[in-house]
Amino acid sequence: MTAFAATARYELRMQLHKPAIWIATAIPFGLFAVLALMETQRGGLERLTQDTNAKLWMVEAMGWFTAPLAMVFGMVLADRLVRDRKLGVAALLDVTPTNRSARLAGKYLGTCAATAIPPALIYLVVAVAFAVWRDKPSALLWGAATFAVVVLPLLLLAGALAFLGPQLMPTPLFRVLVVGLWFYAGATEVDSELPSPAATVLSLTLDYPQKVFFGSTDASAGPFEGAALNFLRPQPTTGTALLALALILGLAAAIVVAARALNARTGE
Amino acid sequence: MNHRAVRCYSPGMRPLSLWRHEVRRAGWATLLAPPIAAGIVVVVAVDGAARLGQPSRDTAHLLQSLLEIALPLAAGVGAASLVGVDPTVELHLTLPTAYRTTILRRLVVTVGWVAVIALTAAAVMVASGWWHRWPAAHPPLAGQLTWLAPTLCLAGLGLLAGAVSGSPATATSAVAALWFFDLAAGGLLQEHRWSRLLYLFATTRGTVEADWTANRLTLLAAGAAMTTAGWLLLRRPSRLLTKEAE
Amino acid sequence: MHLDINRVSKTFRGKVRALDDVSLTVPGGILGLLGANGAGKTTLMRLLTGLIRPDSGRITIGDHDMSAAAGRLAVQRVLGYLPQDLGMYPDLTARQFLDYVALLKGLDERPSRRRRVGELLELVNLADAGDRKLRGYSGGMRRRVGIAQALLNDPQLLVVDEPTAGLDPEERIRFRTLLAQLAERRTVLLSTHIVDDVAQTCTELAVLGRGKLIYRGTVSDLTALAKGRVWSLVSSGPVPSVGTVVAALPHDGATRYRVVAAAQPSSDAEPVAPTLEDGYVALAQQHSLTAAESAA
Repeated sequence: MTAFAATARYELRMQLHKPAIWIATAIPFGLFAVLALMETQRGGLERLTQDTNAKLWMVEAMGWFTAPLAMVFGMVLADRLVRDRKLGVAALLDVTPTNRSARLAGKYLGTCAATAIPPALIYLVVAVAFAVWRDKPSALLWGAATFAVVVLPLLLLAGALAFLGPQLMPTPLFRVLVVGLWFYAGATEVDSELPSPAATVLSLTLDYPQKVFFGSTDASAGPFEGAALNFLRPQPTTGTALLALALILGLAAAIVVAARALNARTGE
Repeated sequence: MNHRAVRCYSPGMRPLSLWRHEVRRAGWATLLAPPIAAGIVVVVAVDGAARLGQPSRDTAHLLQSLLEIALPLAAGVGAASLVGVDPTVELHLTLPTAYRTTILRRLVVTVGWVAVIALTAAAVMVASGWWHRWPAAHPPLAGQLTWLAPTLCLAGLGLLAGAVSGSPATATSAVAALWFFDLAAGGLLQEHRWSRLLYLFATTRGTVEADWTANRLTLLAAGAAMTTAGWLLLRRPSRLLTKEAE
Repeated sequence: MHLDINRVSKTFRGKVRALDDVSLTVPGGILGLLGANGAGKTTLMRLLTGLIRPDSGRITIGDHDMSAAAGRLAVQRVLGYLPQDLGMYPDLTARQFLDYVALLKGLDERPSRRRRVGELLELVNLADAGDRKLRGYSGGMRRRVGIAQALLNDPQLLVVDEPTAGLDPEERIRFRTLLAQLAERRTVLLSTHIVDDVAQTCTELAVLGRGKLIYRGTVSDLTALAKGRVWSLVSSGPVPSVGTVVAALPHDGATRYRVVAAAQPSSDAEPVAPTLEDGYVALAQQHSLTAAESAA
């Protein structure tokens, strides 16, 4: 087995056994469930599902759950890379005849895969529930598509930030900043006082793919009169939606490369 | 060697030296986070005012947001980071000073520092006139509940989540998720009285005016209850010993 | 300070029986505690220091009942504990760390606390390095800081778990001498894998095996357990299969083995005088045999 595969397998198994990622998934889901109940009381859920197709349901109804999810995982994963040093195994692993980059890549992808499993299970349960309730088996397909397009890229970005950030600053400070970053890049208003990346191709709610691929009416994508950063708000098309995805994934990759370089320099 | 008995345990007030040590335990990151948060918002607010050429309501809103939104988050994350990271926990649990007393002392340092920053920022805002430019702002004295209530609530949640999970990652996630949820779902949370009373950002994000005081008192009570629950949970040292090191 | 451990058991997570009906009395002085990994030594240390509670049985230290919170607090005030894995704050100097622990032990008066810290740094030979950050300390230096913190409050009960781990031979001898001196006026419990530490420091010891107390007595009596069972032989062939090999040294192209066995392992094996380590091995053999017979 290669160093990449061995490391990825270990990280996946280790993370899945820890309660942290399950609790970290349960907390936003619990809050989401509270919200869903409140929506039900004002007829929100009925209104949303009455003549809505499964595609729209999976992306809009799960929006409250998805929005904070990657941020939460960024906080949970904040010490994964520095953990080896803290546990005293870094020196042991570094003298093995393995490629350090391969180990780091395995650690990164194994960690991200582990954090993806609990929300994937929730998506599956919700999709099955909707498929049965509204007799729309296509919900399973759209659930998988939503997860792959909207959730996974953000988990990869959060994982990358969690690899780099704690190498640059103490973990608690990183956690505060990641919350601020996620709120700024994902939940500020387009017309707020602060120049906002909301509704841009850099938005951390992936508005462009949501709007273009899933037809979400909740997603805001495109130029907004009077707002700053409109050059980052092209018209929503297939091309710009793919650009938004590419930017998030490219950013994640660049951050992982930076984390690797820093890790090599500090000799962890 | 000096074999004189040096046993002089003295319960009650502890020396300043111990508090100085606990400030050091909080770490420079915890101590820097509130002023950084304050600094960012102040710079943006001043910049915004300068660009607009006149003091604006939006700038006043931003400054109030510093108090009600940013600083409580720093306190919550700081509190959530107290349990589960101490390398000396096994030794500390055998000392006459209870470990949970030390945790509480560190909580006081964390929340106290946020309070110092908040009070300083509020004083500057009042003195410069920015305080009253936000229409929903309350009189300066009662208005300190703007930051105090969500700060104590999130700090209590951080401590309780840390005591339950023994994991700063999980505890911080709980604080962050609730913070984010309240920010993102503010409109919906205003539609029911029970959720209005628990809403963290009633001053800057709006609430039914008559509910503001009850909201602040509810948050204070919730914070006190969660802190107490966390304190009680930290009574059993074996819980702390079995938690995996982060 | 008198220690009375009466029929104490402790099980973890419903499955691992770490201590099984252990009774042990320590009137004073220094007691060595030996045992293999997983024998229950650290669990016993943690019970005595109030870190964990037994599932059954009773522990009394001095006049204090460890099942009561007040009793545990009273013991902790006169306790010095050196855990097996002592974590420290790497950003502090040794002096600052000891100062902090001293405060937590209730040494509130600054002049006497500072004096005490200085004395202990001298005692453990770290006076010159006392103002360096702990992150720059070697393992042995950290261990010495650990020993110093255990002595801050001039404890009546000293519990040390693997205290000489990481110490060089000179430091180890120094520490043993210190322990012996400390035991003159207080009770010391020394838990270790290193048989020689017990041999050089203790006259009394206890041995734990799989959570049970399998020996309580003197060092000389345990050593005598191996009398007539220790052999020396030279062989260029395979490792002797009879008994337990406790030493193997190159000898003129062959290997000289020291073996603990009930019967002579080979015709050319010569009996030799036993050491404490041999006695420990003989005890372990007896205990395994006894357990096998019981199982059958």
